[in-house]
Amino acid sequence: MSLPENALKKQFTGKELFAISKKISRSYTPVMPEKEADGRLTQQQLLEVSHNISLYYGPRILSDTHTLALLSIDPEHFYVYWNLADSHAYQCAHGYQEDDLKLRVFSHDNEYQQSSKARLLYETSISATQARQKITVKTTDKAVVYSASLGKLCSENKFIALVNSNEIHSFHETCKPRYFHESEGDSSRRSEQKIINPKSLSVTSHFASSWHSGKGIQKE
Amino acid sequence: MKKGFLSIVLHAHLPYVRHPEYDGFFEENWLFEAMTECYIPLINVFDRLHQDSIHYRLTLSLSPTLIAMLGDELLQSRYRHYLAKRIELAEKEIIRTRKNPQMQKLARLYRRFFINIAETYQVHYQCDLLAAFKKHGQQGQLELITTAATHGFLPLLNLSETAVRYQVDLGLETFEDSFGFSPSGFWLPECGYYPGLEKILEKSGVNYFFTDTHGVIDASVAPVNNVYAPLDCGNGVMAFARDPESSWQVWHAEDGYPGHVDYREYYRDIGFDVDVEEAYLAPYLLDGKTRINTGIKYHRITGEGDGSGKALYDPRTAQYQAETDARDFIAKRQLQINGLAENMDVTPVIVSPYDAELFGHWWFEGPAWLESVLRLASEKGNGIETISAGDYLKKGVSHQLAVPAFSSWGDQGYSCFWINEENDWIYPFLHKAAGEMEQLVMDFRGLIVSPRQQRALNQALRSLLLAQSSDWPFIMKAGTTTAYANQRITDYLARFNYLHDCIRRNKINEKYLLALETMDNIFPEIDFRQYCSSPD
Repeated sequence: MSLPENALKKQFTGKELFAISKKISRSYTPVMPEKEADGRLTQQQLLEVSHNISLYYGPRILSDTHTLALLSIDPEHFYVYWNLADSHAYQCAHGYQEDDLKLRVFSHDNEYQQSSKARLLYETSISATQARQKITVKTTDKAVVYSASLGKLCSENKFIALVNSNEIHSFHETCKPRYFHESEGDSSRRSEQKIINPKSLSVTSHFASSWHSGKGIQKE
Repeated sequence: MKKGFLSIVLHAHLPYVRHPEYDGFFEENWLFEAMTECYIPLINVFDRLHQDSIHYRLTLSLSPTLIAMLGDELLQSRYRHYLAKRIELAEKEIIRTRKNPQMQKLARLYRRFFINIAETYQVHYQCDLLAAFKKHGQQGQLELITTAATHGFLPLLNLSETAVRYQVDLGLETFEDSFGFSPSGFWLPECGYYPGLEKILEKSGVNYFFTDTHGVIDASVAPVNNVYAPLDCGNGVMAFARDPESSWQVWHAEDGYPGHVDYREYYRDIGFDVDVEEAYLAPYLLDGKTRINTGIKYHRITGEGDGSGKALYDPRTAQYQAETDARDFIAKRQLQINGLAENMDVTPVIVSPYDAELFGHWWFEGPAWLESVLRLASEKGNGIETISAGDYLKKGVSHQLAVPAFSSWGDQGYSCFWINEENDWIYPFLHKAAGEMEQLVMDFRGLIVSPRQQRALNQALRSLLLAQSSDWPFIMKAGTTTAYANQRITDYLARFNYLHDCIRRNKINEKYLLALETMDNIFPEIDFRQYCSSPD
């Protein structure tokens, strides 16, 4: 006679069951002898494997993951990308439609007291559940960290966050954008090397990029 | 005369461009060109300075991907073949240019140059350039340091502290495996720093790193010694900043030394210039058809113009100019030090970091210039002493406390070259893969894994790391070999996805795993368990 399912549930939480399962696996997982690779693969075989993997496993974002990420570009720009589950079921469960969504960026005086010190810095409506964009923000000197939330605005003008971002550190107040003064309408390769003063000296550091060894030199 | 220090830092790095799945691959030539024109000429400089008992100190950063490629047998073998073909082409050029004595003289010079490179590589160092760098490190001239495992741009990977920490730790471990010690200093890829990174560096045992000028100028507290003394980040880890003046003189595309009219013109290579029947150049071209650089270039920069009216290169004039520019560089450092020392309470240190590949590859006379600079700096009574950052710190002086500012040495000084409309699509995938790798490691923690599972987990980690290289987004933005950069990052992410899927389903195909291990064989000692630390 087996115990009723409810009896088990009363004695163990899911976490406890997982821990027991893990402990058993740790000690008793059978280790099967495996045939070691005994031959080199041909170049053709390597190419086939590479091709097949790229064909079927190329990068893709799954629609059932929820992400909001905030990245620093420079003292005036952040980069944000998000991915909300776009299934109808998820939207219903959380009571929103795509055009209800707002993206907000907050500044915080203290790294560890996000909720109490958060100040709204930026807000925009978003229409896609999966997108990325560069945003321009007016940073505040007092801020220590920034964060973002993606959520819906309720009838009482209350903002309900569906997903929160990571925190990023602010720039010091002395940091300034370091734009080039010359025309940037040129090709990126050239403009990246235009230098106005030593303080804004930038480096074209990579081997695969071009080096303008003299005036008027053209890349092959 | 006041006294000050000059700390020249060379950062040597190339992305992982090994392709055993092909007989030859265009991007492998990046490595071979850098070895021929930069790394081996620099080793020859170090050898000559040592033979002449010239005292100098120079910091050399070697990236883990470069370390792996320099030690790789397949690439070593392919490089020997590359050199033999270059010698063969130079010999053919001597015959082809027989009616133009000035050009033929240059062809002979290239033949001697390639033979000399081959001798250094095969005879003196038995194809082991790491041994050459190690020797000069042990002899006390070079301070060797390293960088992140695959040169990931850390400010954009730090969504996961684990990802950043592992790039740092594996970089240090790879270096230690090759050189037998853990370096004191760390080169932040692209000088990319964000506040908080110093804590990770401290945990990894790093004593110092480098930032761009504004990293220190815009620090949390204004630096009292400008960029001419390091900052203590508050935890004992020191930040040295790039001196803008000496950088300008070497780096600047138009006003820098490398743009002088007498120096060799990089963009006039016979691979593109020579109008001969296909059969002549075919053995030295890509797939026998596509024109590429051969390393033989007969012209000097000459002056403004579209490149068609370039004068022939004169090695003696170029050598003279390199020495002249070296004297100018030292004289300007002396002036700089005289001005700085009056207002500083510590001996000033001028930090001059450059990409190593500038010397010899882009700027053919760069190694000669560097040799002259080091010889001139070693002369007594000139007020300048070359020093490594590590040596400077050993002097035991306490330094100002301040946290550097978010910064990089790229265009506009922050992250925009690595995240923009050309390459921003990669970050959600990189972050997602990093998160999945971390979850895999957590889920397998404490479990007994089969040898094949272990290999698959290790290989998944290699794929992730290779995808994280800063080179791919850089190339996408620079617009040079964008197809290759896109393909690399897509392939590495696909390989990670594939392995992740196999591991989760516990269905690992031996042939596929072996193929991936063969193609991406970097970090042979990697252990996935080290990716994230245990919560307890």
